[in-house]
Amino acid sequence: MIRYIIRRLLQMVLTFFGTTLIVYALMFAAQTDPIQALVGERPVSQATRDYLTQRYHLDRHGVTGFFSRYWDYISHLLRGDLGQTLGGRSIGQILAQAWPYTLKLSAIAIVFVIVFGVTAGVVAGLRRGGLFDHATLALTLVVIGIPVFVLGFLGQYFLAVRWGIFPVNNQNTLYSLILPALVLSSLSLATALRLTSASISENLRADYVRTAKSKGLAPRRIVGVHVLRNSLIPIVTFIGVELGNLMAGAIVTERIFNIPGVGFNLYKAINTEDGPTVVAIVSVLVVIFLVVNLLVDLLYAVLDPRIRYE
Amino acid sequence: MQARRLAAWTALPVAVIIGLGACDTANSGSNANGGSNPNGVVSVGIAEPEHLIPSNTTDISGGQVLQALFTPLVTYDKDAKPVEAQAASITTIDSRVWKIKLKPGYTFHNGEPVTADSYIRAWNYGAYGPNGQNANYYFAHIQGYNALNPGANNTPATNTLSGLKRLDDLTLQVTLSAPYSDFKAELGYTAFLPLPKSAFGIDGGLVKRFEDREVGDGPFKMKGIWTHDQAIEVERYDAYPGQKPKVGGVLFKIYQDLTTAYADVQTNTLDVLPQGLATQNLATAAADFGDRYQHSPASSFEFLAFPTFDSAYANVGVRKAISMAIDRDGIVTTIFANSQSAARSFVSPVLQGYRDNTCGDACQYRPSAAKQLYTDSAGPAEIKIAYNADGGHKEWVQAVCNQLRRNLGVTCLAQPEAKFADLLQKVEKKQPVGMFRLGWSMDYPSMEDYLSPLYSTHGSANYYGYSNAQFDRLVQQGSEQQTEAAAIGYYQQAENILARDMPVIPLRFKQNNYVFSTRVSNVGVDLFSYLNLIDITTSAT
Repeated sequence: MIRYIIRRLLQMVLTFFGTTLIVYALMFAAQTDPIQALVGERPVSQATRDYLTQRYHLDRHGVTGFFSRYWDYISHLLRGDLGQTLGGRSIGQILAQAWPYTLKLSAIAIVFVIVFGVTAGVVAGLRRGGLFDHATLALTLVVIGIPVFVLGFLGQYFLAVRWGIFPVNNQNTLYSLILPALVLSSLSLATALRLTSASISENLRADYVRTAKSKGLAPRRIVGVHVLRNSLIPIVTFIGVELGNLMAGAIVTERIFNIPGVGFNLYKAINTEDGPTVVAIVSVLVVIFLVVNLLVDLLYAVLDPRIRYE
Repeated sequence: MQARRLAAWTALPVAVIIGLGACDTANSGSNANGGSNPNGVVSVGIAEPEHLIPSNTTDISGGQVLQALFTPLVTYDKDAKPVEAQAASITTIDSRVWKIKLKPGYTFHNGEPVTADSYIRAWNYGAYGPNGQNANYYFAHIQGYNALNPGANNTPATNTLSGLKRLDDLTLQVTLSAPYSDFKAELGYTAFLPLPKSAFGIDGGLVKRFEDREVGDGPFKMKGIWTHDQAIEVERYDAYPGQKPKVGGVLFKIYQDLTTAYADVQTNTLDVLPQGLATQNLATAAADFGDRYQHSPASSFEFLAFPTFDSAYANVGVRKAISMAIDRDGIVTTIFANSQSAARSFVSPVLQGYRDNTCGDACQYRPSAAKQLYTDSAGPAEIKIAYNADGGHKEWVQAVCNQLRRNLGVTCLAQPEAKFADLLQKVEKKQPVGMFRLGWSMDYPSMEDYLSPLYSTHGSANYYGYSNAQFDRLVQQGSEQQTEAAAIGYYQQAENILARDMPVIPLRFKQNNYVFSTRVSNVGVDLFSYLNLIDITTSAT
């Protein structure tokens, strides 16, 4: 078990460097004129252009230029220095400010997924073919079919502007994050619901359930202990991956509800061709994905005693 | 299960009741608008400013915050003429040597008096090339600018502008490298604001992150620090000798995307959204806000440019024919819900020296004459119009294309580029992008600011490469005049040349479209799209 974890951790280091290299290369290739992108639709003075070019080594082009800039970046990164944006703000500070928002938002969203998605999935799975099952099937299909920005604006308009149940935008309170989290989680919630219901109804037909029934076990115990535990494996995988997705994929939601989180900073950095910021944010996301994946894999062994890690 | 079903059925009526309650309070709020609270705080929606150092601030959100924190040397009256603010007088004999006398009694928020040195320090810092300040080129008129900007990889031999001289504590003499009649108007731009001594460290550079705890000399001072991406709060500065604001403070709420602030004003969570109303909200704004949705003149000018390297548009007849085939009024009405106005001149109507319809017949919508002229001038069978896709230009560019298709019988392609920088780069590399859209808004009210950067041979925003020696000479002569009135004569002659040559097609002048909550009144937005923070009142507690 320990050996397995160490091996995975070593793999993570490699993956981490590989991803930063790829992301850095992509940003490098997509860069047209970051200085113009920074100032928007106005002329840039030559002095400013010279200053930024020199300061951020924007004159290093081609393959050698790429590797020298990448080396600069990585060597600073290893010393714990995430660098500065083109506007002169410390990227470390930006991340420290943005992450709490995104973490809160995705934590609330994941709670919604578990509480509503999984619970409703269990109910639908147990009463397969019933009214509840059909109703949720129709509803989830609709939700999955609607793009998130439509849900966001509709939710904002009706629940906040028209009916005033929630605040329109982020007010730095947990309550104001509920509506955005609801929008953010809607897609995962729908998927979790379908997944749980399918997994439960499949397990209900499994041999061990019949055995348990013929042994005379109480139905509550069959469902509560045996079926649920076995059905949870695909759901845990899904939720683990989804946690990473929610953090990375909140770009649209964070914009609509004015949440100064990671998603928005990522969007802004891509727009201003700010390579170091994009790489820094993506690197942290990569680490989160890797850690969550490791935890999910370890959880398998807890849920299913047949799985052993050597 | 039973319980959950029940909950679902009760949620709906509760929601309806809460909604009705919200409507009631909104109505009573607008009726009880009379009482204003001199200590109330007004909230204003802005985007995250790039910087708050005056010489580094060129974006509108940063400028809006600087309006609160600083007092400029001059402000502008209703006719966009400069009037002294922090300056007591600004005089010149030859438009080259300017004497600026300051009003006594102004202090920075740390108690330091505002003196001639406060200006000299700040301007030297802004003009010094290696400091890389965004507004660096505004100091280019001052003598000694070139010595501070010797180009990339060269260190300037000096770090002070030779044209700046302190005569006494409150008098400053500025020598320009050439006469410039609009210098007084230029002094109202944010780049020319002063900085306190405490802003600078021992090495002469700015104190690290000074802008997070900015110290200015304006009617408001910072309250706490700049919380990036979230808010900047300012409060009334009681020792301010100028006209005092009628509110206790201003909370600048920072929006990632200003268009989302609209819903916050709708629910009274935000007081004013001075600019940034999305096109999709224009149609419903009047219904949503009634008389709390207002317009005021702004300085932006939207036009289509012809790259001079593209021989297809070399003939002036082709350019005029395209202009005549565009129904400006139709686009303004259908796409912009009359929130902008059609442009038939090359300078903004807010300026001294503006004349209606200088473009003449070439900007009138005359489809059949256009077709005739286009055929006679052998115009290209295919027209492309490039635009940047990140600025909400798609609808109107496509509308223009449809009109050209219908009226000229050509094929027309609206060609998006991801970003403005991509568009510019293609133009600079002389790639065949076709016509392309550009916008311009003034930094200070002067005809020169619409002519020189856009059309003079070495203009900073002359991306299309227009060059006309006579035009250059007229603009030059205008700026050498001793009075603004005399200068305007030359500028108008220069504008006539543009009407003859049509290097660009004027399309629209923008307006400020702004909305505000039921709590505030006396809301005004000026030519620069800045909210007037002195006159606004609030009933908020």
